Amino acid sequence: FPGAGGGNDIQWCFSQVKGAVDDDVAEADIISTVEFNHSGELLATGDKGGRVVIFQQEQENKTQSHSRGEYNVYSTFQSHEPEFDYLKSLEIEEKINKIRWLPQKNAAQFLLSTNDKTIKLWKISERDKRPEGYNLKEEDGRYRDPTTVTTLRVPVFRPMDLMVEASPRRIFANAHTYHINSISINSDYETYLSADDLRINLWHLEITDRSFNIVDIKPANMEELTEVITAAEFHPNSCNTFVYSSSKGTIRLCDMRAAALCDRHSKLFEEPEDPSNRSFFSEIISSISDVKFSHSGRYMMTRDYLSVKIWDLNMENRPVETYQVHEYLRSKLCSLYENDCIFDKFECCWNGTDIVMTGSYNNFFRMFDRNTKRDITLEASRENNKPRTVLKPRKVCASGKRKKDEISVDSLDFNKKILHTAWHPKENIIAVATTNNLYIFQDKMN
Amino acid sequence: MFVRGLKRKCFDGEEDIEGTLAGIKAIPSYNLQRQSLLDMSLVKLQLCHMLVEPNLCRSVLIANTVRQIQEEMTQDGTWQMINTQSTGQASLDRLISTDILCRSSREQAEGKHVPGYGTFNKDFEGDQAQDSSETMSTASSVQGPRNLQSNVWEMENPQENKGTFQKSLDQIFETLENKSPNSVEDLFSEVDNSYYDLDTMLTGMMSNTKMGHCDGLETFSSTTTTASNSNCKSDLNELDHIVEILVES
Repeated sequence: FPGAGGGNDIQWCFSQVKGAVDDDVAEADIISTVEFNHSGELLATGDKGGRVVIFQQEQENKTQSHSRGEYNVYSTFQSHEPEFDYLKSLEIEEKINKIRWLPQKNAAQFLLSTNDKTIKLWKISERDKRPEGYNLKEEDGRYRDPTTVTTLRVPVFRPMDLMVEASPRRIFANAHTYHINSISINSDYETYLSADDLRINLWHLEITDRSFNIVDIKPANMEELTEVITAAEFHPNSCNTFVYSSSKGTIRLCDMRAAALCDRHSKLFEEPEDPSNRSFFSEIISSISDVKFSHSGRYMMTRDYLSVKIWDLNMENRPVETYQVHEYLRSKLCSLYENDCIFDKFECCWNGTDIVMTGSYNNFFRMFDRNTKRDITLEASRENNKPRTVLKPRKVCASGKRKKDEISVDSLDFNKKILHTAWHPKENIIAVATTNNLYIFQDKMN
Repeated sequence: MFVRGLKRKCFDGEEDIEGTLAGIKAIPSYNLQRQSLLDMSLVKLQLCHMLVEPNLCRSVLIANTVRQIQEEMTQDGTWQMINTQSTGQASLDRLISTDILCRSSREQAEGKHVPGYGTFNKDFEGDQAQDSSETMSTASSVQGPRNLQSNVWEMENPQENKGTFQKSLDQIFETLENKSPNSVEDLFSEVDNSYYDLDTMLTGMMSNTKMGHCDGLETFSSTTTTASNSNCKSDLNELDHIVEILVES
């Protein structure tokens, strides 16, 4: 990665922002997931209204060598519709919880998108040619009278305006009683897992009428329920290994070769509690909201309410690194519990091995460089929207005298939260979602 | 040294308390905070009951917090104190809320049938009060005579109450499983008007309803973010929508 680990700090510049400008946010436009595909050429977002919008990066312009291609809308489609469960008298939200891309095998692109209950495999394909010169049909599709056909010709493909079509190829339904929080594609590219609050299922991409239940933590007596599954992911290289995190701050690594039902973990990652920091909120803030493997698979990162932790898969008893995202909130936990912000689920992402990124409040997001141990806070705001202007680092003043340009904790806007971020798999391009806008930042190219 | 005449909110006269005057001042404030946290958590759980699709993770975390508080309060003896105290509407409301949780989950477990459409009008006072009282009485007659195992006003045995509370907490998740709007009906039928006020305050719908004694809860409702208020409102809109569907069919 250019700039990473080489002692050169990345200088982030604003590149683009997508979405409505108004402060009045339509609920359906709230972005609920962001994901680059494996090449980074495509960037998908899902929203609360059940729609998926895919952006495509322009091919690099040779004359504009100082910036990478811009992302423009490539395809928009309605992935999930609201449904009604008549048995329980409950509405099933159409909000897209996660999108995961499949690696590209042919001309078409495939992605999995899921709401609370149903996962769908979408095929996105391009059509830029159409056949013309049929013998039996007119150009507009009407059939010709066969008796008027006097000569025969071979239909040919002629170019047409590019059309991008999205079609649902598989629908994986009726396998989850509880709300799906994660999907993860296996490194075999044939199977994937879906996790809800209490169970994890294994699917084959070709088979929709059955799935295997591989984890079940539902107690026989629901009265005894004290812990739920919060996230799950397959190991990037070992197709038999996956991890899942819990609301009690633990991560379990499971090996599917050990047993059909992976209720017994192979490894349990848990950091002992710090007694000096104990409060009634300790458990809530220890709940893990996201877990992500590094590209190599040697490390995994977890996000809880106040911190990001890096774990070495070979060491279960504590993380190798802990980064504080917004420690100044520790003294505000009661208010954050009152207004429910303490239950916000922040995601996190890697740039590979060296730098991790996660969101915070006030439209701030944070990056931690594992090598230099430096961190930076940046803001996603339309005020900094000049391309190629380097973003100014932000600082929150926890207590005491507020310096110029610092913002005090009490001035933070807790309605402006960055829950979803994504890092391009190959370049220093990041996508950061505020409530209803998608920001794209790039590193400064000289 | 314990200073005579100094009122301590949650402790009996016999409780021995060490420490300086500062210590004495600190302890009631901690208890107050803890109590307000407990109240807040119970309110959140009740709202969970009223929401169409409760978030299981959030419910579990809140319930665990309530258990923690309850354990600590049991250990230092304040839990018993609260139950035997009869001062103030605030404690009674707390008792009501826990008993309502007991009642609703108990009845949920018994699987009583209540017509679904009756539930949705109960939140609104004024012009809809008539409808709600009609539907509530209809609902009650369908259910038959209720067999309340404990009268909410009689707090004979604090120990039993503790047990009931624990049980009700445990049963919350059963109700989450059997989630239906019926539980809302169960929560609020056969209560007197003062509880009606508590209910409307909880839903944040009636901003002019004042509960002077429930300062902690009031603060909660007034500082609730627009997000959760709109959740209530949008949920009620959804409920209206559902009512339409059911009434049409």
